[in-house]
Amino acid sequence: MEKKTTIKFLILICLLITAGFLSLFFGGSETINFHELSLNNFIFWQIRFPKTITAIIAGCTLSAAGLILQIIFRNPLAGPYVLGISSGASLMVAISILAGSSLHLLSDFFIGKTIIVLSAITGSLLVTALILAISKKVNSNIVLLLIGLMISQICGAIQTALEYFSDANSLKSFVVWGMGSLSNTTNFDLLIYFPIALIFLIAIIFFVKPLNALLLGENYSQNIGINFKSSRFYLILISSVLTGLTTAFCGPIAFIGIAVPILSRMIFKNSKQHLHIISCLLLGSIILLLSDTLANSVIKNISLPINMLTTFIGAPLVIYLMFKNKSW
Amino acid sequence: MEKKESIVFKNASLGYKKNNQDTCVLKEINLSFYQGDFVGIVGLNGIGKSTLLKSLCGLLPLLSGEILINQKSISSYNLNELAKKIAIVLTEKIGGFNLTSYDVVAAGQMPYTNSFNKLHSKNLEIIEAAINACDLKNHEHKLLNELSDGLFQKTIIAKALAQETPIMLLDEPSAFLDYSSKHNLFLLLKKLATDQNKCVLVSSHDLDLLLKYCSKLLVISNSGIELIPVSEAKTNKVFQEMGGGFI
Amino acid sequence: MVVILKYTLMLVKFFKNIICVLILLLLGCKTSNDNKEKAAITLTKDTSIKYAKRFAIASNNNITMLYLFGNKDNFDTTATYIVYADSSAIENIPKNITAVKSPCKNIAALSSIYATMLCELGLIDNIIAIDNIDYYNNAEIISRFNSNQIIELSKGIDIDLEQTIQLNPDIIFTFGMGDPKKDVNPKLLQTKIPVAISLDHKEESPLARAEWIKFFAAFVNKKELADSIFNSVEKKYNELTALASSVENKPSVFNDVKYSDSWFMPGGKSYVANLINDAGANYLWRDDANYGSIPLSFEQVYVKAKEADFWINQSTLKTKTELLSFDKRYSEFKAFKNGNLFNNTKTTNKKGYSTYWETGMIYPDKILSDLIQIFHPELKSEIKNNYYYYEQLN
Repeated sequence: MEKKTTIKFLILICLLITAGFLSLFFGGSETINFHELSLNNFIFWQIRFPKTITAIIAGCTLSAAGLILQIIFRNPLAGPYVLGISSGASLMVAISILAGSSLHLLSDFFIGKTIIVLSAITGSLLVTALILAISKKVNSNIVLLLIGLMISQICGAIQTALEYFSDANSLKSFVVWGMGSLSNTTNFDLLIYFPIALIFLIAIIFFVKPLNALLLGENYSQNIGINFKSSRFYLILISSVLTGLTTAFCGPIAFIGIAVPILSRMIFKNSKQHLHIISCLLLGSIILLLSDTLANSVIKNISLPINMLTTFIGAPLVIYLMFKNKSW
Repeated sequence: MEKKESIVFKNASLGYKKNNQDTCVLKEINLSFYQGDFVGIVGLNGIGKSTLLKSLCGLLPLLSGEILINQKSISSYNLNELAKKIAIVLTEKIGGFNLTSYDVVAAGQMPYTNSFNKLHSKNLEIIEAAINACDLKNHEHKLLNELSDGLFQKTIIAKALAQETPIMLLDEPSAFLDYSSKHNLFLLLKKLATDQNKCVLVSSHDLDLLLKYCSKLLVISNSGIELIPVSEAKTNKVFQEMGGGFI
Repeated sequence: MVVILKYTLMLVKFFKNIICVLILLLLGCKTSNDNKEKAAITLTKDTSIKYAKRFAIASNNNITMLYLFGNKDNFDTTATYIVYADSSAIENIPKNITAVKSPCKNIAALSSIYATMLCELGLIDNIIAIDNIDYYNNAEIISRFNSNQIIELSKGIDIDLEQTIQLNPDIIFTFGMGDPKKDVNPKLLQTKIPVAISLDHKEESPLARAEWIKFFAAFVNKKELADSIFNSVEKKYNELTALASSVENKPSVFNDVKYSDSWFMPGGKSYVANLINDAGANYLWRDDANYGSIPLSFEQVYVKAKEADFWINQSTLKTKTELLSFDKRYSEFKAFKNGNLFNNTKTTNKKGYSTYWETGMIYPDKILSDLIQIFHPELKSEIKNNYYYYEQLN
């Protein structure tokens, strides 16, 4: 590894540690004193800790999913949120909550979570497959982005329609799914969230070679010995699971998936995807941790929605890319 | 020394499969190419030059018949083995994602690396050699998007070189190149065929260059497909009608 | 709760659509000051209205004038209604006064609270339309809805304009911010169907909200009945307050559950805060200066309420398991561990909406009697009735 790259990674790791520390100790209304921290500090262990870990997992999964999608579509403007994949996951969750609560399936913690996670993954798979089918018919990156936004709107509209058919109880659950949130996961949720995320993040490492090859397009990647179709299938599966999983626990979180890989390519000016995977994991975590800390500390006693901050970071980057002819 | 058969088409029908419907472009062709051959493929637009090249390296499915590479059917190769036998240079543009000229050339060594794409010193030497052979040393760290058409074409050819294959396929590599670059390209290809005993197939509309550098011509027309030594080109009716008569 | 839910939904939509916010800001700048003229006739103010701060009534033999005070910060009149029996009394009235011919026979009551108030005034036969049947527990209204004697006019967020015009009611009762120009669909304003805006939800004290029955009564000529209903509520409420205030120990109480990121805690001056304090308990956010709800994080609530004695109004949730299925950390509150969880869900319809939101707003004495029994079980013997709205979560 080049010396410059090593230094950049060291800086990112320092930033991650700092951001994690800030989120743990300053990411709420109370400032927790490090020296007085005991094992039974409920605020620290049950509120801050799961929130910080959730920010890290959500940052990692969404950025990794974004990186994969950008390479599969060879489109730097792809991402789980802008292509409507998060909305698809969200919609499937809404449907399963509606159906599940009428069948009383969701009262058991593990069965309920499993149903929600599986339906979120199904939703993101369906939308990814749909976008992939459409992407074969369009050549323009921007048109694909617009189609993604339309799919996202359609999913939102169906969800609104469903609200009219729901009773007070499940309506409440819809409100829970309305916006992205890092603070709804508890340590129990993490027992499901963390291992699945870890397994699928590790799985990406085995696709470093296809990811590098896919940058050259379908024909060239086949010609250098990569099975394009099967690699693409597995990569779509991984990115859908990662997106669906995070949407199941946090709702749709805006722009992290598209912005982080772009930032990563701006910071590390090379095309080695094994570096980008690691830097996306680091950057995604850092950005979500800092957004969370800011959301909880900018205005005293008020916690801002996390999507507001991530949109402030992500949307200008997308606009910048659209204006710039060169693609990152 | 007897020349070794490198590529054999046996009653091969080539074309596209779409929605379970076959579109046949070239029907039941029988051809043999040998190591050391430098074959120019000529034919009007849409006659099937690209189809031939893409089918040969497995990017398009065979509709019927067989293609043998070193006496072995291409369908029995796995993708990685095939990648070590045939390298292709296509007309499509690639770029973005910080891809540099070096990255693309390095991708040529991918069939020889482990599943984490780790490049050892031997791999690096081969990449270096391919870059030098194509005169890319001063441009290797430029982004693909910033390269001129000529340098881009050289990058892809260097990638094909780095693949270290006995067979190289090039689909209209001389389009968009300036005159001297075209000559340099064909000189390089000729050198590869004669010095390294590669079988090089190149499709092009630059008939004069083909006549000047190639050893054989593959003439594709509606009346059929013909493989002739370049010396017979002047007397070949189809070639003459195709534009060879102007030279 | 329903109101908060609606506002939450609205909030979500605002975030999704910044244009909406811009339009609201534009509207907000256009405060109208042209409603101040008074009719040049002698009117006597209805001094029986003691608690309600958002409306006033003045009348003479021919007409009744109703004034709405919708401004957040002052009590300027934002809407005026004139209720008349003989149309000669309303010649030359200014355009910004809504004239309503009394008594109204065909009424559209676009909230379960208004519909219930009209029922209590004995006017169920006059209700021809409601907002959305999902919110109702009243068996009579439901059966009339099922036999198409009552129809729904705002199943969604907006009023069904065409059906409203076709129905042509004598009056529409709806809620809003007190300014017809902002609250009422402009096309509905053009139709001359009078729309009376109720500001009962902006009242802070439970008695003030209950007193709004007098507002509705003015349109249907039922002043005496409304006064007597309210007087009895007032008497019982004040007796109960006196009873509760005699108790020394004041248990601490908090309210509501978390929605997504935010726990909407009623402000220290809110309706719920007043009820809890009147019931002889210590509402943990009593020092807060807000009339509406304040969005808090789980952490903020936990810090303040972990040792609280009681936790009430958990939305529509009926069991502890249900509560925990949303967030397991709820079990960390002392009130949860001690089983002191009470919700107003004793009687709900199949959509989960409680009678608390129908009759409770008219009879705050009943809510108060429930709360006193919850916070002070030792007073049960003095109250002598069961819970009206509340039940303990199990």
